[in-house]
Amino acid sequence: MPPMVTATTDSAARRFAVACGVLSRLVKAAGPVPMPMPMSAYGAAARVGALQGPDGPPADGAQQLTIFYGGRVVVLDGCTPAGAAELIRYAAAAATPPAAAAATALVDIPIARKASLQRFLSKRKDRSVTALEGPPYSRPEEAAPPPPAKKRKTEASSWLALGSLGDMHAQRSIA
Amino acid sequence: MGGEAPEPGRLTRALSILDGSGVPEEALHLVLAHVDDPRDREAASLACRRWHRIDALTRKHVTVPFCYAVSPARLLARFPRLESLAVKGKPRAAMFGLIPDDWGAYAAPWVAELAAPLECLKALHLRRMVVTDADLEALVRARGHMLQELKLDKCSGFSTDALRLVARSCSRSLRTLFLEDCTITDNGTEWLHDLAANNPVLVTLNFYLTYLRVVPADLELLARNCKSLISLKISDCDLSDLIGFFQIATSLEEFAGAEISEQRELTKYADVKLPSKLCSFGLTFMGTNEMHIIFPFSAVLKKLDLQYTFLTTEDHCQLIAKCPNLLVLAVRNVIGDRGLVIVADTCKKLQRLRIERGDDDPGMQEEEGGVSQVGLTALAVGCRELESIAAYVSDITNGALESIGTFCKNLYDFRIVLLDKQERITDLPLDNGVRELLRGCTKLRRFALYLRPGGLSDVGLSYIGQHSGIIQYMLLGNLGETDGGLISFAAGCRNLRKLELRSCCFSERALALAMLQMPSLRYVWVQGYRASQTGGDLMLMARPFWNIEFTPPSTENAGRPMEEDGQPCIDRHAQVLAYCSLTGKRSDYPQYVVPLHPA
Repeated sequence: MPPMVTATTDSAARRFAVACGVLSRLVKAAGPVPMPMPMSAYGAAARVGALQGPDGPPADGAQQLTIFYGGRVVVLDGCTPAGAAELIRYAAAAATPPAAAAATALVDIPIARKASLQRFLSKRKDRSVTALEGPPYSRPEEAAPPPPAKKRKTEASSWLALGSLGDMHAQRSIA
Repeated sequence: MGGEAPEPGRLTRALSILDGSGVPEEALHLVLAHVDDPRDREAASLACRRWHRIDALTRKHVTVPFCYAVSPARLLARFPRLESLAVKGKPRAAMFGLIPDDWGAYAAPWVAELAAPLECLKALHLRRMVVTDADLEALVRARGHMLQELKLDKCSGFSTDALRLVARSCSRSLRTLFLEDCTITDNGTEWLHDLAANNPVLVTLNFYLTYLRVVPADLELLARNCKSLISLKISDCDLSDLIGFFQIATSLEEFAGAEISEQRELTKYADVKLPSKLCSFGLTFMGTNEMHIIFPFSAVLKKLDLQYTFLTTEDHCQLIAKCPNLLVLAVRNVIGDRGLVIVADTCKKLQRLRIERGDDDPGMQEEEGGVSQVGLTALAVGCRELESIAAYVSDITNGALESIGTFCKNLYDFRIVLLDKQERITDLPLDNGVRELLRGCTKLRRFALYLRPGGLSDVGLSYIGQHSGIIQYMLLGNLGETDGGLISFAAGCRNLRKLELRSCCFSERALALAMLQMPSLRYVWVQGYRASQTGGDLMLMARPFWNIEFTPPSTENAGRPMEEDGQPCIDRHAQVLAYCSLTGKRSDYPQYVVPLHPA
């Protein structure tokens, strides 16, 4: 059966041209590639021509390949079974959803975290939990006088006093 | 010999005349002994058999970039007089919890076969390998009397018992003991006491990012006995317990570790007086109230590690503004664009900058944190001496990358990861910016670009190949759109030796074909691609001396959590590791790794 003729798009024509290019390269290349021909796996849309030459099928299994597509016909002599399989793979791939969908499906790998930093961040989380629950030791950000842009409120005004103690220390060390 | 190059026949005669009339062996030995750069050495060894032999006998240091590339016996046969050896094991992904503990990279064969026969060996550096107490025992037995440098870098498998043995056996010779980020079984603190008591020539001691307990008195003993101690990086130990140590260690130039404890009594840190020569510093859990400790010597500070601190964006701004002589700076992205502008204005001599990823958790979120094209551009313009940049950014533009290409002409290492929190990125794809950066930074040897879908098109990926120059190492994540992009990338990479790919859209077949196209490639690691169940198409790249290892995609692998914080590091994605090897298939691979070639 000839391949399904849907509305001819540029990309479909391009893929066909690419597939033909692959095929002709394979045909020109010397010697058959020793791969089995899994024809049945692809639900072949192209019909591999079974025409035989006058001397019967050649030893490497190369035969004539005829493709009907979009009103055009391509006939290639001496197509190996492997070559035909390659072409059919391309055609089958063209029929599947575009690569972009596959690409997005792959990107569920989260950016990995460095183990050493991960340990630090976990420890920090533990600390802030105990700080909130336990006796009055606040997070360092809250002990310092909060800059105007800061949204986090300090627990109580006594932390501001602690903050100014910190400033005193700073001045002492510099002096 | 002027004029044209002589024909091959005449060249051979010319060389033999040289040999015959005797450039004496001794002279060649002396000359080659002064050649240190490994690339020069490699070139010299290929000149002729005689030079190959003399290089082999006079080469002092060898780095084996991947432990399965060559056998210890072969190394010994070629370089019998080696003085210093470095061996690297597990893939870099191990630092991110992506490689299980039983993957391989055992130090045992290296120690067993080399420690005794290498009679000149005095320095050993192992990175990301499994080292047991027995291995260290064997090492010490063979080389203890002359071991000057032992660096176990992100290694695991040993305990403090082995460290005690090292401390007692290498007492007259050990100058450097480096254990940073190792996983060590803690059987007691005696090892540090033994080290302090017995090793008077110690210069560098580093057990940063380990969880070993520390007795402050042992550190004071160390300071008293080791007058040559210049660098000390330790595990967690309250800073206020080190007041005595700092008073004694007057020669100390570098310190990192310790911690500011949770029960914060502000007065106890007031008496901490750091040694006068200190120019490299890092303090774990340091907060706004302790920052002032640095102020007295901030003007002479050359290296600053703020990755494990509690400083806010404002703190970073205040602190860095006081550090005009900084050469090396490591921070988390809480530094923000605001902080980077301060860096650009202040740290004109900055050579190396690392901006690590902070917390994503909304409760712990660092509000002003996050670095973007604003900070990066300022940095490029302000810090022209930069040689190495590694940054996790929240937003990016082509312009920022172009600026780096324009201004940072000394860059040899550039790595950028685009975080996934912000939905809309200002300016994607980054094709042109990447091209301009690569064209501008001609000294680049290491390059990492980790984006998101749409971040770089196939054209952009081909630009990377086209302008790869002398780049030897690349990490690429979420780049390109189709197999064609990868193939055109590969066509350009003449000098690429090591490639890591993650979370990409390429087929197995394209991967294999691409690897075949890169003439210098000797190591490739891939995770997250269009894998098959068997890795069959990878066989397209099968060839002699090229090992291919495949970890099939599996939901069963999900049962192996590797992260401590409960987040499972599920490695259900296939992994591929392919590498040049002279030794054939490795014999110690775990059951989930399938050796495809040799099979």
